[in-house]
Amino acid sequence: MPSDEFLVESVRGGDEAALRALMDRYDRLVRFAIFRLSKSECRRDPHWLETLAGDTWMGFVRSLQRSPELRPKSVKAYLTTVARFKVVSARRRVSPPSEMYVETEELTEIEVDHNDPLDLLSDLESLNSLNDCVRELSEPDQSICTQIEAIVDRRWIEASATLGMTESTLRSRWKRVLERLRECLRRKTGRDFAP
Amino acid sequence: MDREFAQFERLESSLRELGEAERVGVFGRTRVDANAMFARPVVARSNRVFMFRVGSIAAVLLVALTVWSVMFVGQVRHLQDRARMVTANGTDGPFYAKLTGPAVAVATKNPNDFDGDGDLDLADIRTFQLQFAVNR
Repeated sequence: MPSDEFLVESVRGGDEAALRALMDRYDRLVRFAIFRLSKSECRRDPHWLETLAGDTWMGFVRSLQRSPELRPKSVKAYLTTVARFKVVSARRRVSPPSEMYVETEELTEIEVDHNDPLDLLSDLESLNSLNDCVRELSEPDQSICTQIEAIVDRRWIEASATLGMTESTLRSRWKRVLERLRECLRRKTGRDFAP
Repeated sequence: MDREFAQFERLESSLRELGEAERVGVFGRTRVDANAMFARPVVARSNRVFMFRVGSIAAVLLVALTVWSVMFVGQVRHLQDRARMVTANGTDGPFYAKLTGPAVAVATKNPNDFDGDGDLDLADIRTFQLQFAVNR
């Protein structure tokens, strides 16, 4: 398995296959970084994530070509930095001046919370594991998971009506779903998701 | 918050984030145009720096053209003026331009015919100078 450094040098030389290999490794991290940095924009604009992810990879390749002496110590860190710059630039383009103050405040908060690419990677791995665990649930339990927004806000009546079951049934089944997920995560990651 | 679910709070938050990430497409794949990525970057001709340079060059050329035009027109006019004043024998001046030479009579009475012999020649100049000196 080629190292990141080898792939970076190959990309600098114009190797498309090396770029594909790097994308296989880190594309999800790039997308997750953009999502974490700009959740509200991702919700509002369906093309936001895809556009910025493409821009991030383009910026990554261009910066390697522009600076032959550039040797990123960590490709993960470098890519998340490029992604952050792309998010900031895109925000400046779309935000009217009156909203800039709020956006900057929000951005500062996010940068403080999720600046470390290793934390991002760890969170992404947890999310991937959780995704796998949800897929292992039975189909009725997975359909309950689709009502997560209402359930987390404790809008039990609304969620139970959507799912076609009584509130008490939903509450008891949701508790079982969470226990199964926690058990699955403990098995996969060795970590406990208890508070 | 329901107390019976308080222990699952972190797990529920992660589930909510997972649902949101799935909805916005975090688990999809980014499509890139590798050909465009590895092509030599072309400087956009519409960018501001380029337009500023073109504008600066155009302004300098315009100023240069204006200065040259003024100089050229002035020179042409000067030459035309000189051409109007030059006489047959190459001497400048409005008086000399009117000389007809000896024995060539002017058609009507001419105020420059100072000696009154009917022509305009060097003798008229001599008479003019004498009269000018006397009158003075």
